[in-house]
Amino acid sequence: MAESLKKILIVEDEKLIIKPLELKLKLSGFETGVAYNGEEALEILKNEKFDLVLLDLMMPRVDGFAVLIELKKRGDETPVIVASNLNQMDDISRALELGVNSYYVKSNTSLSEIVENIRKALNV
Amino acid sequence: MPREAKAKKTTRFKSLTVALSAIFLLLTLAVLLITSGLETYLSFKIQQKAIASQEELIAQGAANTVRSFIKEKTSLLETVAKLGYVTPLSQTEPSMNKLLSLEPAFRQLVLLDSQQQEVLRVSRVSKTESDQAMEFNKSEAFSKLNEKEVYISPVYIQKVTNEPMMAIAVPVKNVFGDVEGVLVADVKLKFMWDLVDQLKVGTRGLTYVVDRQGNLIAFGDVSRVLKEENLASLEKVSEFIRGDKIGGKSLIAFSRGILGTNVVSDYAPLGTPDWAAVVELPVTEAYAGVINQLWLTILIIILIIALGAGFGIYLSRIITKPIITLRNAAEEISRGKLETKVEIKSRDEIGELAESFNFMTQKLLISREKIEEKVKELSAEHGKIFSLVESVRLGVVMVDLSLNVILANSAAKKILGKSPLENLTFKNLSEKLKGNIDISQALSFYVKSGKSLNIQEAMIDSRYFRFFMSPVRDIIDKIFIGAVVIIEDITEEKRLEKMRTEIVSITSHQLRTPSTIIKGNLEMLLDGDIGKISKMQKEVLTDVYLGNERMIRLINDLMDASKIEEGKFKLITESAKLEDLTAEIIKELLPLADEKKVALIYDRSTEVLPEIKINIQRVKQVLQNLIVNSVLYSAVDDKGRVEVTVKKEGKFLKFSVKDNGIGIPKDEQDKLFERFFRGSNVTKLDPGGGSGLGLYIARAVIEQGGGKITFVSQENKGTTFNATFPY
Repeated sequence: MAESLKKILIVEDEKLIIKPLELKLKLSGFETGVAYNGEEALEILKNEKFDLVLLDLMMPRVDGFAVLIELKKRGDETPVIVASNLNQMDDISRALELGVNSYYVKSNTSLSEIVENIRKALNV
Repeated sequence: MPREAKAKKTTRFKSLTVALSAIFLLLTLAVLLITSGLETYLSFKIQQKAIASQEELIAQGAANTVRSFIKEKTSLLETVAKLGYVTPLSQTEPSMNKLLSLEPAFRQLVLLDSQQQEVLRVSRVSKTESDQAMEFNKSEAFSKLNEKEVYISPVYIQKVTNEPMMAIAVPVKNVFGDVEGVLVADVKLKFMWDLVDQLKVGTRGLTYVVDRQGNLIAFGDVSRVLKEENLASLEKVSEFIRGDKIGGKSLIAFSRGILGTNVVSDYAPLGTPDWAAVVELPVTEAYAGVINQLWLTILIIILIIALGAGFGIYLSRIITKPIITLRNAAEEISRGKLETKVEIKSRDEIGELAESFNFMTQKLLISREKIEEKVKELSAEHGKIFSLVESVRLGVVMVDLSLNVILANSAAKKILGKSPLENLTFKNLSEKLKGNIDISQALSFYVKSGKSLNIQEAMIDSRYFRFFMSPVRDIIDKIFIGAVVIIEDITEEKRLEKMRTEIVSITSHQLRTPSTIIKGNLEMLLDGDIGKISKMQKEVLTDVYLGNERMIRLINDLMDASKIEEGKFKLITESAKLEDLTAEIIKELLPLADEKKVALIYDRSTEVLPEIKINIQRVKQVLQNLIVNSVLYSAVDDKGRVEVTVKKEGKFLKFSVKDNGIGIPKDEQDKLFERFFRGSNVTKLDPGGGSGLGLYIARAVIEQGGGKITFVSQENKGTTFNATFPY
C-alpha cells in the first residue's frame, strides 16, 4: 500500500472488547487509536485527525451521544460508525439523526462485519 | 314544602268576616235608601204643591190689593170728572181741592182741555215744584183715552222728592159724551207699596210688583225701585213677560229670587194696569219640613249603618269562626303538626267538614309514619353506599348527562386537590386533566354511546393516575343517567414497572458486554488471526461460539418480549422487496434443507410486486425462523417438503410457508403465540432449541408493520404459516 494507513479511533470503555477489535483492525490494515471514554475521545479528536470513529454509546462520564453532539458543534465531519449494545429503536434513531454513518449492535455483529463496513464507509 | 310557602305568599286572601259584614250592610242600606228616598220625594212633591197654591193665593191677594188701589183712585178721579157734565171746567176747582184733601195718595190734580192745555191745577206743593213734576206724556194719554176710560202712565220718579209716582188720567166729557178735557192725578205709589208689603208668605217671604217689561214697580226696599231695576232675568218675571200664565202654570221647584237667593215663587197678573204681583218664599223656609225629614232620614241611616255593621260583624263571626278554626288547623298541619284536631261540634256542613278534616289528618299521620319508616330504611341503605364509596381508596366521581358532578368521594377530591368539604365541579376535573385527557369529550362519548369501559392514564401534579370511565344506567329504567369516573393512583405501579423495565434493559445490556467479549475473541481464534488452530480445536471453539450466539439471541428475545409487554416495541422501517428478501433467505437456508433432507421450494411469482415498508433485519429474521421451523419439523422422514410463496392479496403482500411436518396439536393451537410456549411434540424433536419467544416476537414484528400472522395446522399432516404486509 503506497498510501498511508487509514486511522480509526476506537471509543470504548470495555478493555476486553477493545483488545480483539484493535487486533482485528490492525490485521485488516488500519492504524488505530483508542479512547476509553467520550471525554478522552473529544480531547484526542481536537488534536489528531482520524479517518473514522468507531463509537460506543454507553460510557461513563461523557457518553457517545454527547460526543456526537459535540462533534457536530465543532463541525467535525469525521465519519462515525456506532457499535453499541443498545438496541432500542429510540437510541438507534437518535444516533442516526445525529449523523452517524451506520449503527451496529455489538453482540449481534461479528468483527469481520464491522471491518467490512468500515472499509465500505472509507471506500478502501 | 317551599313551593307551597311561596304560593301562600303571593296570594292575598280577603277576610270572609269583612266580606259578609259588608254585604249585609250594603243590603240594609239599599233598602233604607230606596224607602226614605221615595218618601222624601213624595213629601217634597206634596210640599211643593202646597207652597204653590199658597203662593198663588198670596199673589192673587197682592194683585187684588194693587188692582183695588188703582181702581179706588181711578173712581175718585172719575167722580170729579163727571162734574164736568154740569159745570164748566173752570168751576171744578173746589171739588178738585176736596179730592186732594180726601186722598193722601194724590200729590196734585191737573185739568187739561181738549187742546191739551192746562186749565186748572191743585197741588199739595208749591207751583213751580208741581210744574216740574208733571212728567207724563200728554199726547199719549189723550190718544189712549180715545179708546179707554182711563190712562195709567208708567212709574216715574218725582225729581224733587225722589218719590216714585204714577199718573192716572180720566176723560172729562160733556153731556153729549164729547171729551172736553182730561183730569190727571199724580199718585204717590208709596201708599200702594205699603199695602203690597203687608202681604207676605211665611216669615221670610216677600212680595213685589212688576210691569209687563219686567220693571220693578213696588217692593219693600224702595231703593231698588228707585234704581228702576229690570227683573226680566228672574224665572217667574220672565214667565209673566212671555205671558205663559195663559198657557198654564209652570211648577218649578225653586229659582233665583229678587235677593239672589233660591226661592219658590209665584205671580198673579193684575189685568189693569198690566202688572203682576210676584210672591217669593226662600227654599229653606218653603221646604223646611222636607229638609227636616231628610235630616231625620240621614240620622236613621247612620244609626242603621252602625247597628248593621255591628250585627253583620257579629253574624259573620258566627259563620266564619269555624272556618277560621279549620284554616288555623290546616296551617298547623302544613307546619307538620299532624296531631292537630279540629273541635267543631256543630251538626251542619261545617261540622261535617271538620269531621272529614280530622279523618284526613289521621290518615296523613299514618302515612307520614310509614314514610318516615321508609326514609329511615333508605337513609340506612344510602349510608351504607355512601360509606362504601367514601372508604374506597380509589377516587370516585359521578357525573350526570350534562357533565355536572353529582357525587365525588374524598379520595377523588384529594386527588384533584380539593378538601373533602369543598364541592368538586366538572371544571375542576377537566382543568386538572388539561393536556392529558379531554375528559369532557371522553365522557360525553361514553355517556352518549353508553358503550364499554374507557381506560386512560394521566399525570396530575407529578403523580400518575388511571381513569376508568364507564357509563351509569338507572337500575330500574336502564336508561343512561351519567358516567362514573374511577381514579386510581398508579404512581407506585408506574415506578415499579419503570424499575423492572430498567432492570431488564440494564441487565440485557450488561449481559451483552461479556457475550460481545466472548464473541470477538472466539472470532479471532476461529479466523486464525491469532494463530493456526487444529481441526478439533476449531470444532470445539465453534460449539462455544454457537452457544454464545444462542445466549445473545436469548438476551435479545427477552429484551424484545419486555418491550412488547410494555407496549414500547418499535422498529425502524425502510423500503424492501419481499420477493427478493425471501429469495435471499431461501438461498441461505438451502444448505440446511439439504442437510435435513427436506425439499425447500420457492415458487417465485413472475408478477412484479409492490415494495413494502419493513424493518428488513427483523422481518428477515421472522421469515427465516418460520422457514427454519418448517424445515426442522418436516424432517421426520425423507419426504419432508417446504413450499414458500409470496403473492398479492388485496392491499397486502402475503408470505406463506407450507410444510408437511408434525403439525401443531389442536389443543395447543390457541396458545401458539403466547410467551414461552413450546409445542409438546417440538420439545421432543428439538430439546433446548428455542426460547419459546420466537413466535411471540414474530407476531409483534408483523403487527408492528400493520400486517397479521396466522396459521393453519393439522397434527402429523403439516402446517401453513401466513404473514401479511401492507403496501
